[in-house]
Amino acid sequence: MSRRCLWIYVVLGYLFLYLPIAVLVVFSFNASRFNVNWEGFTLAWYAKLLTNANILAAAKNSLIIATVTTVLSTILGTGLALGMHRNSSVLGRLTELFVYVPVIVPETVMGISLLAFFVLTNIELGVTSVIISHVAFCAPFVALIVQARLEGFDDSLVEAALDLGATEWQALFRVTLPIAAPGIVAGALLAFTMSLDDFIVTFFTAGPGSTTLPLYIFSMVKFGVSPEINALCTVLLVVSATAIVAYDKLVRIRD
Amino acid sequence: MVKLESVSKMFGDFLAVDNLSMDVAEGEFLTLLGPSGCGKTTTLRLIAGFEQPTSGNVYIGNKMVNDVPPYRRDVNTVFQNYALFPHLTVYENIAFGLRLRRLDPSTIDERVRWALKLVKLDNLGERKPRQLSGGQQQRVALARALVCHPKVLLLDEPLGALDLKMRKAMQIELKSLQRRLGVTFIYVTHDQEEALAMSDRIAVMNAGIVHQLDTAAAIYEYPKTRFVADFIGEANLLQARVSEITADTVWAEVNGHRLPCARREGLRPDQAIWIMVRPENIRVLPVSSQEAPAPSEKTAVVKGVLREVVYLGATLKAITDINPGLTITAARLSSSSVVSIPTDSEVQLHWPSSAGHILTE
Repeated sequence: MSRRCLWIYVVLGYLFLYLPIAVLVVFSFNASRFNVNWEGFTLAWYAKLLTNANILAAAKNSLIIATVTTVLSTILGTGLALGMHRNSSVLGRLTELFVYVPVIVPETVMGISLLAFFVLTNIELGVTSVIISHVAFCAPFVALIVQARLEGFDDSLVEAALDLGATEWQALFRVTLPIAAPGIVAGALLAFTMSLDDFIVTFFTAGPGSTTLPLYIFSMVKFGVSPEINALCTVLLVVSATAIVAYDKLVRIRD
Repeated sequence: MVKLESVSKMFGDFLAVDNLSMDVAEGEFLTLLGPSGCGKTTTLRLIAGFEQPTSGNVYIGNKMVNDVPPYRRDVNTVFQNYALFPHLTVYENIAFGLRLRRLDPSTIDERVRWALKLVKLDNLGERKPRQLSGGQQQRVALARALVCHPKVLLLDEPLGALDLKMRKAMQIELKSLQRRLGVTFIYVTHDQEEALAMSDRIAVMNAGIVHQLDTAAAIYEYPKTRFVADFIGEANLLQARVSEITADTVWAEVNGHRLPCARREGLRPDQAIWIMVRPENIRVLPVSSQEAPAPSEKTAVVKGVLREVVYLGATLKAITDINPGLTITAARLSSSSVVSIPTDSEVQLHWPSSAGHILTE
């Protein structure tokens, strides 16, 4: 009896979470112009995406921003994690505390404060400002993931490398980073999806010519949800889901 | 080969190594022996270059290396927990040092195979460290260090994590390996048996100080301090006072007993001393025994009550109370006549005066 209740609970829970998404995906293949009736299967909306210059421009912006953000925040976040791992002094612990701040600050606050920062520093709103903003909230996530990976890292491995003739840099690249690699790649994937999906921070910090896919979708929705949007969201969903599955696999790797 | 010159190391206000000087000869097997926290590992790390001395100098092969980083020192270390690289195969672990030296691939391959053979792991090159047993990991760590042909190999309690049988086997293997390769070994352990079994010389350390640096036999038979006497093997340490010094004997007074001891220079009458007698030098006889020698300059004799006989396999321990308030332990072969003496009966203990070793500190 209680087992059956549990099953019902689980099914309802998953329906609640995934039904809207499932509807969106299904309707992206619907031959009708409206999200009401099913009128047959088509890939026309996906084909139409490829001919829409605005969507292609937004996709290009999104990919450039996500890629650059991933590279920068991975380097920055990994460096932070290494520093926090090696430094248990007051400074190290303070850094750890500050790394959490961008993780817990509401995105709206983050967006507004970044906007204020760009206005103050006279940085023109555009692709650059969006990248800076994305790095600001992605790097801490990378740092936390890499730090978790380094937890339990045996420091005598670095000493062993030095002992065998490696300089500090060689020890970093041949021992520490390879061992932390699953964490680093997982962090990078997470940064990529977060940057690709982000709406709120981007909304505040984007300028003319730096419209990303989420921003473009939002503007399209103002004229009603078309199957084209469903198709576009499905594409985004597939990209994000792939990255998240890969991330999950990597985080679980043990040595 | 390795020389420490008045080396001290402070961690904050904790003095880990205190004005330590020692000279390790080429091809020597030297052991740093002491309880945990005695500074032996710190000494090893000072030689490896992971720590810099607060004062004093470290020399490796006549070159002062105080400011030389670990990767430029001609020494290699076998770490306590092995510190094998988990992401590399056994083969790549061993090749690590050679690849950094940019040797050509065929030389690297040749030397890695030599090292694998040396530690009898010829077939396990492709395994990852976690797929090996503790003993095998230990051998990989050894091979990884030796393949670099260091002048000095530093070993930090390398056998600590192995079970007793494996440890004994590895002791013999390490010793023969060292002799065959002629590499200088500096070995850290807290296990005195291990130290006695393997070392050419032993440095007994406590609280950052080397109490005695000598051969195993000299340390066992002629300890310089009470700490050494107590730490190495078992010892009866009797607090005493010099009562008379003759031509070849020192008479000491222990709780009312007058005992002859081995002669030693630099003593004056009435000086406070300790007498160390190793349990295996003491014989136990029933008080009525006719065999017992008379007390003389050559023989110390005391009477007491046999309290306990502890069976230890090949040997047994006879614990005897001597009045007032003194306990002396004798160790005899299990086949000795001690077993026939009932406990709580009166016995006499005797030992040659040469077995009574006088300590002044």
